[in-house]
Amino acid sequence: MSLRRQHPWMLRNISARTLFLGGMALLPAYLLQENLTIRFVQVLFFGWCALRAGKRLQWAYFLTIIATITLFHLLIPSGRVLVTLGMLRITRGGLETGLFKALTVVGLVFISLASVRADLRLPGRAGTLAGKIFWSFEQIMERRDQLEPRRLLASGDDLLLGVYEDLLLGGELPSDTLARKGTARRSSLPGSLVVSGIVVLQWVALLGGFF
Amino acid sequence: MTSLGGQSPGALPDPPSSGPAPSLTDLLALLAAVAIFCSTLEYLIPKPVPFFRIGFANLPLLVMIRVFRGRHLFSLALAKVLGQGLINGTLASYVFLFSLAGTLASVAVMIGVARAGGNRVSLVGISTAGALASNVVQVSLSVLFIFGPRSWVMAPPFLLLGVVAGVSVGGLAEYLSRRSRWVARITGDYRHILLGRGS
Repeated sequence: MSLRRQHPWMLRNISARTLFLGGMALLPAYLLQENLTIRFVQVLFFGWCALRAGKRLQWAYFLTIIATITLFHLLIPSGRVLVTLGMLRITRGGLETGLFKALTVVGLVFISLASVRADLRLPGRAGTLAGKIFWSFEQIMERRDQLEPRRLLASGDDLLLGVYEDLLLGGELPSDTLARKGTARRSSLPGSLVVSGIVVLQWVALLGGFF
Repeated sequence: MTSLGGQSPGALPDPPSSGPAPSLTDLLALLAAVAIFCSTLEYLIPKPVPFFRIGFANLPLLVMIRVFRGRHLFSLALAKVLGQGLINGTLASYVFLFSLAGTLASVAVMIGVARAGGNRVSLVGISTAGALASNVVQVSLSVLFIFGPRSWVMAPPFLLLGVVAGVSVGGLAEYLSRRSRWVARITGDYRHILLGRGS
């Protein structure tokens, strides 16, 4: 969840804004893609991007999602029967539809994980609120060692009252939280080129199928 | 200021401590941060199915359900979902939309039950109603957009698990709202903010 696991090159060269805009720009190309093989490659690629972005992926969770979505679509037979397992007829249409939908859902999560970073600044009041939320959250995480299992309520109260007092005092400005230190405010040329290249690649993969 | 100790919603607030006056944004930010911390703790607990949520992140909403005005509860819910989306990185995915829909449905139902039931309904009842609302919305969205019509079979066990989780979280919220000094402080400060606004 923190920026500490993010690849240092990405932090130094790609701003949170560029990353987010890049993610949004490739989203239509991703969603309009209809080729199952390309979708599979996209999911692997965005999974790798999410890992580079410092996100921890729970592979068992994503595999369960893929298996469950595919299984439910197999219950609606469509097209040629590939194999029969007891009562269940596995059809080509059901399998392809299920797999495609499952991979699309998982890929969307990977794109989001890769393109949304904790130091993303939102405009206006939402941005001020988000800054204070991050500051408070970072403070709670940093002080969590103060929690004592034997007196959980009392120590939890002390911790939260301490964070609250510091928040009211202003302390460290929310915009300068630990999460923001050492991150690029503006993207460098190589950083912009990498993000643009990934976006262009997705659109080429989509438009290439039309011509 | 040690305890709310049965303080009724209309009772005079505790005096604020010396120091800078809090703003509504401060209160919302801290409560949302606590919600995100609770969801981080929940992440560590093994669950019977990966999609299932216990709902610890709703604790701040629950302890404030009789204190905050409706619009401030919705603001807190939005702040919580927005913060989770940004910190977990799910802001641009279906997870965010499902979470948003579930949370808003849950808050709407919890406010309705709290207002209609008054002090006759405990936080356990309010929490259970909210958990059911959230699960109904999320299961419906899953069936419609992801899993397909055959997946309605998963609805009953999910709703049952939701009831169990709602009761547990509601019990915890009831305990905290009676015993926590921090909850008492936030409650007092919120009422002073309202008094300061002349509302």
